[in-house]
Amino acid sequence: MLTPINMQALATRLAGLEEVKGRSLWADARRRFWRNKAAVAGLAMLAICIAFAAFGQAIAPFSYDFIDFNIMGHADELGRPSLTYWFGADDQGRDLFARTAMGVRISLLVGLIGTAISVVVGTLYGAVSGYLGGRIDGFMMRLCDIMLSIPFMFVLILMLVMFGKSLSVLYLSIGLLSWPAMARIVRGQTLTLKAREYIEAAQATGVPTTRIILRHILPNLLGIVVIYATLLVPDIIITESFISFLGLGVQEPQTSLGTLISDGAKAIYYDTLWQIGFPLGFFLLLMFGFYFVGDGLRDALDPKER
Amino acid sequence: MLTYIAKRLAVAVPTLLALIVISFLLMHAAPGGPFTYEKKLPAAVLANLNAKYGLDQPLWRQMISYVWGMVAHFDFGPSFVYKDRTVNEIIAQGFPVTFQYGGWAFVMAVVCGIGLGVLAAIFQNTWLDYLSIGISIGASVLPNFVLAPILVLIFTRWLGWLPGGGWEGGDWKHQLMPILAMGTAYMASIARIMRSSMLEVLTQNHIRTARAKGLPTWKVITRHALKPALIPVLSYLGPVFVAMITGSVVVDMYFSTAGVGKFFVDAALNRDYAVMMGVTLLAGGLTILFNLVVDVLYAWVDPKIRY
Amino acid sequence: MKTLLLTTILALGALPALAEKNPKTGEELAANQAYTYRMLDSVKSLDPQLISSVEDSDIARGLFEGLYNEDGNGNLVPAGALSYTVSDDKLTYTFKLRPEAKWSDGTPVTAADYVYGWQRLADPKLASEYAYFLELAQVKNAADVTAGKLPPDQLGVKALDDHTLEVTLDNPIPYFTKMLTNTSLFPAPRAVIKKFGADWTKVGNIVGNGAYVLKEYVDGEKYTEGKSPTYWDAANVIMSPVTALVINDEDAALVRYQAGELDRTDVPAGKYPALKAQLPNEARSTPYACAYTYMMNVAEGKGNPALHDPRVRRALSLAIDRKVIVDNILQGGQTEAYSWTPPSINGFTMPDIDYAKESQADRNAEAVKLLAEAGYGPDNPLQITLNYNTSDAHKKIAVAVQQMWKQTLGVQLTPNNYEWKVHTDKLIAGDFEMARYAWCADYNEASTFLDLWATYSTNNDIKYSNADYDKLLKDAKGMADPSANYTKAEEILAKDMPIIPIYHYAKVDMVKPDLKGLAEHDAMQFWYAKDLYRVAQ
Repeated sequence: MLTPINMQALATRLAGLEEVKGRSLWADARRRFWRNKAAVAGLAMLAICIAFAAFGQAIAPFSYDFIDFNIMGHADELGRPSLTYWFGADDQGRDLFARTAMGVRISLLVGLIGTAISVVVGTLYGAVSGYLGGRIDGFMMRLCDIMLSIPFMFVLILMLVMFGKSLSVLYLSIGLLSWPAMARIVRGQTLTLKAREYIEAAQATGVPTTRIILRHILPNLLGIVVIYATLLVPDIIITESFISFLGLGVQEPQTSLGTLISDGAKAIYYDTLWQIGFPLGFFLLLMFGFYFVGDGLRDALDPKER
Repeated sequence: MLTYIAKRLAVAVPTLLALIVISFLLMHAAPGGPFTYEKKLPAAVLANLNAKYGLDQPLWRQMISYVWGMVAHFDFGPSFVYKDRTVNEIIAQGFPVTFQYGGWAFVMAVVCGIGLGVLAAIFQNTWLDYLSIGISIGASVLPNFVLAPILVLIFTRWLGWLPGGGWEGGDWKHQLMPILAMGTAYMASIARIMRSSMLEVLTQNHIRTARAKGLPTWKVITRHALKPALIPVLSYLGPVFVAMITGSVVVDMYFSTAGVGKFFVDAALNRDYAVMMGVTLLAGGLTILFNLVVDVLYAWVDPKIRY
Repeated sequence: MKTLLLTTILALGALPALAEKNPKTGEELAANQAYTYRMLDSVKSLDPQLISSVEDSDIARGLFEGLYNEDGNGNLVPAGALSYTVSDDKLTYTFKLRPEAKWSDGTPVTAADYVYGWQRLADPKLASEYAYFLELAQVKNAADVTAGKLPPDQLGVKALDDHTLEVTLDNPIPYFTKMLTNTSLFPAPRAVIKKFGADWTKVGNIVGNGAYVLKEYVDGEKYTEGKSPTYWDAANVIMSPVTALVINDEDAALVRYQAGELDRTDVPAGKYPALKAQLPNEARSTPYACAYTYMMNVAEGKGNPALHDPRVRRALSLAIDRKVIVDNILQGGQTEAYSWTPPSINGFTMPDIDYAKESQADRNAEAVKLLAEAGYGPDNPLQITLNYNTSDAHKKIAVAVQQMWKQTLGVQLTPNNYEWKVHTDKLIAGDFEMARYAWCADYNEASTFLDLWATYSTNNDIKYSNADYDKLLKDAKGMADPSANYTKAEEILAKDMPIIPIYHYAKVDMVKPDLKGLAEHDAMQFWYAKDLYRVAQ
């Protein structure tokens, strides 16, 4: 049992610990990050998107699925952005503000979770394969080749049939879809890292394999992993719209950024540019945000300061 | 190195077999078959069709006769949907098309992407860097189904310079828009990977030493930095090259290029098993081949790499 | 020099003389008589007996010709046949064939070629998807031949001599001759098929008896037909060459139409009014014999029990504002549907359907009342799911209907989209509560629609069953004029409401103003390139 006094002592000790540790690594990183103007700007962009995703639907005058039958089919004249419809209305007479807010929210989640799955699986797989090399590497990479080539539409259709329509299946399938490319990149990088002197030194001094991978390989992969992750996010957000087309995941009248953009792509010809402009604008903002934050994080965490 | 290549090619055979088995099982497990229509076929008609295409056989037998046809006659079977054509004909007609526009798109993406990436890294945090980042992020949020209509709007409808679609045997005017629609996003990705990788290499000791010795920047880049910085780009390019030369469903559908790209989606939606197997094996074979090429290139770029 | 001048003069003189006037209508013709149109997907087959898609039939009707064609109003016009007689028991049809008809290799078209084509269609070895069409036409022994129980030569079709064809039916049907315009019942060139096997439809091999021959075949991109010199009516064929361009995306196709690359293309959903205002002479909408519906699973122990109550079904039907769907979503001259059979079908008389004439407000009021009677209201909201296959138009309609039901009835509808084959698989398995469905006519007569909901129909996925309905349709088969029965059958459907008819299709397209000869009132939307021409402007 901890007495209150003990608790307090523990808390101070913990706080102290954190501080000591923080000064050495995290505080440094934090300081570097905040000094990086681009990274801070990126953080602001992401904050705007997140705030919009979180509160957009609440402040919108209409629900995301409400149809104004008078506007339906006449969006080109009646659905222009106005004081009632801030972002205009879509073809169906629905409020694009509320829909974009919902789309940003769903796509942010899909993008982040999908990327996270892919990064974790891909990085570990690639690092292990590249580091162990030889037959294991051969086997793991051939498995990757197969994963890259199997007709994924059928995997998705089967997942739909087996697990029904749900967002978690969507996340899972998107993660499944994108890790092999990540694994290949990580493995390529690991191959060069493995040949570096300090790894050879670590091997020579008998450091266990798991430790080498975790302590020496993974940290040095950070740069490429972060960059590839920021490339993956837009990819996954767009892929999601295709998966919804198969019937998996986000379903009408719910929507996602990818779906809004692919629906809006048709608007390019028909003078209803707000239908693509607003979703694409948020997509752009999101991507700039991710890029700058990603870049800032990498610089901040990189021990070799430039 | 040659023994390594030979070994890898030998392993390709079981890999492809595994791919065949997995794909076969996946396809047949999915609901609906090639002849499942909204307007249902009478039982006798369906039975005739199944007998003609061998679908009445047990799955393992279908698989064996498929592999046998492939090995013995290089015959990938008839299409279940496009009844006047065989899979061989479909691929022989469509692959040269996607190989052409995809190949050019690849060249464009690699040359421009690496160029932009290197420039951005050398001139880090200058306007040139920001411009190339801007271009590459802008390009990455324009998926090809958005880029394609924008291109058509500009070049066909407003300027009237280029035809809105068709292939016409690969006339350059018909190729330009497919190449741009296909290559732009990849170019953006390559530029970003290149930039980051180059920045990392530039901080390494031997580069610092080279710079300290007073070598001009371009010499440092071309002689010392470029090769090691290429590793992540190379890993990225293996699968990407295959994805590009097998075309894109969006490009093929949008520009009516008659390539093989649209079959990756169409054949799956139609449950055209034979065509699906054909394009899967095409992509699979190419993936295995080009990942091997990438592995060989690794060794060229960084001679210390051993397998 | 002299000869050169002479040829120039001749050539100059010859052009206007060739393209001067349409021999039938007397209109002045344009110098350019090339026709280029959009098709959605690559050719699946050009073999008349294997064709199953509408677009392939369009090309095949240029390359081949059957016993009869359809005119612009959906009536029969003699083509390969000159006339026919029918026996008193209506079981034997005897066709007199056109003696001057020739294949494009110069050999005459004989009755044996028709016999061969029909036997081929039924033959299990060819495994044609349209083999059932012979059974539908009640041709004698068709079912047994297709099932492999009898050899193809036992099919009820015989060549009495080179130019006389006799067809025997199992049961009399009033619409037999209307079915003859389908490509599956066209003749087939036996010698050519024997020689080339499955490759006979390739350019260079293919031989037809139509007004055109295949000139170019670039798969997935374009198909070009040129005038056939051996066609019996070649003197009156004006349009050539005829080119089909494969363009999957309809918006892309429209841009290419506007850029002058196409003479005809489809109008994307919702874009007709704007295009009509902009180009009144080019935007065109004509009725098309297809019907769109939401059908409800009424099979015992399947689907949603609430939908087994006719009051609920009627309430749901009443509360769909079809005018909104037609005028705000589709916007292409489609018509609101209250009957299953489209009114444009040849010889069909619309019944008096009560709610069709009411205002939407009255319908909504009745719907609320009916649903309350059935026990559903705000405290016990009706929850249903609707399956539809992925498509932009289906999605828009589903989302609109969901809001209509929510706003007027408080019904909670969950629209579920599925990829096409999964959707179809669920239909066949009866695994749905309510599903989107559409049907297009096989032939220009109401039974092609109404037979669908008979108890004995294999396509009746909702397992609707009504003995009176079945009897009306069975009796209709033996009648000279069955239209009264069809009208009554529609009344029963409207009463039981197992399906909610939503709209009837229209073919909405852009056609260059100088292009003439497209059918205006043929609900089948057949068009024959040989009837097309461009007038001088």
